[in-house]
Amino acid sequence: MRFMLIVRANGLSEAGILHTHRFEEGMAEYRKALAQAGKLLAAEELQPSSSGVRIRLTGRDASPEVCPGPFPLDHRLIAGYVVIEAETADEAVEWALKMPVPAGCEGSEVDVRELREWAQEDRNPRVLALEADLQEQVRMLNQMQKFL
Amino acid sequence: MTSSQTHRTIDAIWRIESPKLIAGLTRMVRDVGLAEDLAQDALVIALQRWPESGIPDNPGAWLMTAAKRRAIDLLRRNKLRDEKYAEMAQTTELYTEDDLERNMDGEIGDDLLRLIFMTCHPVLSQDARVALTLRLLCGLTTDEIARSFLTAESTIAQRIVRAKRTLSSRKVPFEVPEGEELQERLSAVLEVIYLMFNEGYSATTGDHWLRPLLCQEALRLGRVLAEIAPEEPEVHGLVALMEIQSSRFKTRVSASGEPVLLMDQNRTQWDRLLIRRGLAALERCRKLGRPLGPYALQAAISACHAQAPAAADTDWARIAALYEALSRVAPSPIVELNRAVAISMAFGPAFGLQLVDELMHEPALTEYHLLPSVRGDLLAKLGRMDEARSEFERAAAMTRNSREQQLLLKRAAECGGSPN
Amino acid sequence: MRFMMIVKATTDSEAGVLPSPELLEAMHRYNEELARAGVLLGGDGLHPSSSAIRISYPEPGGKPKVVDGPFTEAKEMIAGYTLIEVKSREEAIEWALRMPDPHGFGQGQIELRQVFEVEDLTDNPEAIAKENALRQQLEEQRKA
Repeated sequence: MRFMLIVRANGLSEAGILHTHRFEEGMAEYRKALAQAGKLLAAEELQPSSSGVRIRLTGRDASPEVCPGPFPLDHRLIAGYVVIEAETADEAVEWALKMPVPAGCEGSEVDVRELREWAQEDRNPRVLALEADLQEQVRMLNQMQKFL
Repeated sequence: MTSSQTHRTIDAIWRIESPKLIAGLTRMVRDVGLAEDLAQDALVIALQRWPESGIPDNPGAWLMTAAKRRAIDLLRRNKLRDEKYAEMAQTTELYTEDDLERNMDGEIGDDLLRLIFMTCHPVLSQDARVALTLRLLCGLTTDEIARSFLTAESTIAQRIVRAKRTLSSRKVPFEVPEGEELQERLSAVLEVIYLMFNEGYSATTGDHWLRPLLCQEALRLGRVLAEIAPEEPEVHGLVALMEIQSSRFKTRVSASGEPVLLMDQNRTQWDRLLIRRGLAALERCRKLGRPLGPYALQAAISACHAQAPAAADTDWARIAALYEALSRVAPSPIVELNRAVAISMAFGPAFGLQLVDELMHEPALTEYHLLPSVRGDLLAKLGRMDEARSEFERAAAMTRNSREQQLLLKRAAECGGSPN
Repeated sequence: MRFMMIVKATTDSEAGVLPSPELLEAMHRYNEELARAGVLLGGDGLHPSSSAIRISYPEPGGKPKVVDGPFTEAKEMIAGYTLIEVKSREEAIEWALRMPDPHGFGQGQIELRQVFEVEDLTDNPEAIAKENALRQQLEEQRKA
């Protein structure tokens, strides 16, 4: 199963204050541990929302609203994410608990969310072929001039 | 021989040998991911040595020996080589050098068969089965697989890595299933092969060099399967179906890339060799003396078209009978609709309509847009234009495919009168 | 792509001498290997040219001339062929190299010829150019 560990934004990340050397090292260690266990699929940090754009999709007829950042520092704002492969949800939580916390961000939050697997229904190639045949046959039927 | 020539030759040898190599190694080390790594290690050694030493007389055996040596080294060093193997060691049973010796000899056909049952195992998602099979049994690169499926290479690479990990963590055995499980698992294998084929055959977009590659690989794998599992009628049925469909491969798309319907195809350009091979495969299937399965029946239907010199010569009564047989072994509304159309062709639309009308009461089909669509066609053929128009409109409202919707509305308009 | 592996005739094959049991066995194993690799499309052995008929057109626009066999120049005749479907020219060569020496006394000769397929015969320059560009691109990617 794949999980996304979502790191929430906070005042420091939004202000673009660089992390301490110690935290950076801790994070590098963390990624290395994940990678060595064959669990790491992706890990990214986002720039502060001041460089972002928020698009509000208003619906079918109205055109979308485009608002430049920064955005209010609310619960929706994220600062980074790590995608891992884990056997169980418990294992994913274990990994999330090991994530280092930067100094001054003791109240920060990480969400653990399972990614949806390709939800695509299994295709049955035989049925696909039958549908193609049906099309062909209907065309032949349409072309036929006269009937008994 | 220049070194780039040698490399191309090694490429070709790799293509011929790698499935056998990986299959044999998987039997020895019981882990398909490790087996592929070992095989690739052997390839790297060959790439280093052969340009200088020349290509050995029996390159397959050479590669196998080199890979085995790597496997033994790995064991002897005891200290496992890197974290990757350390992780595998946790998830798979450890093998010993004795196991390795004991497992070295075996019938290669059996190994290939075990490997294909492994890569098509139901613990994997359908996409993963296809990708892994193309990689390990057809020797395609991730790049080639990605391009034929119009997917990013990293997605395919990741899919393959995860599939191998799943096989190992779920301890999927390297064996041919037995008893009742065999038929179920075999149909999963056939589905993967036909899915590969269909992906290449039915799509009109995409890389026009790599799409046929998928068809060819599927067909090749089917032919291999027919040799290593000759007692299974459906294997021959599937091969027959793919051979016959492939015979029309070149005529089904016009020079400008537009699809050409069966009735308009230039039949003189159909590939006679493939048709003959398809009919031979069907014959092999029949000779096994068991009732025909779904693939064989679809192949037999396809053969009726292949054997008709012109569209007007098609033996529709036989096609209708074959669909009837198909509706017994693999009942589905799409089969019934095909049968209705075949019956209309053979005996007139009134008979086909009768069959479709019976289906109208089927609660499972209330949302199936092909039902009113076919019914509309039959009604139009009988001159009942008002009813036909409303059926086309109903079908148009049901389909989510906008191109199809337009076509159906056009058909409705052609029926005349005013829209309901 | 399809290739025809053509086995040339020899004085023995022309004399109707049947191959030794060992060679027959080796050929059988080879064909089985081709089939198991899924590359074998078909193949046949031919009668000696003593039963052959040659039709030639010695004059442009003239009448055909019919000559009965046998013919003399053994090396220019074929004794049999095997048709294979492979992914590359190199793969075809590799398979041809694995064929047992068809006669075993110094006259054995196998010729490898690519078979025309429908797309080779279509003269749509645009499609051909597109295909060539794609192949080149693939080749470059492989080198990179």
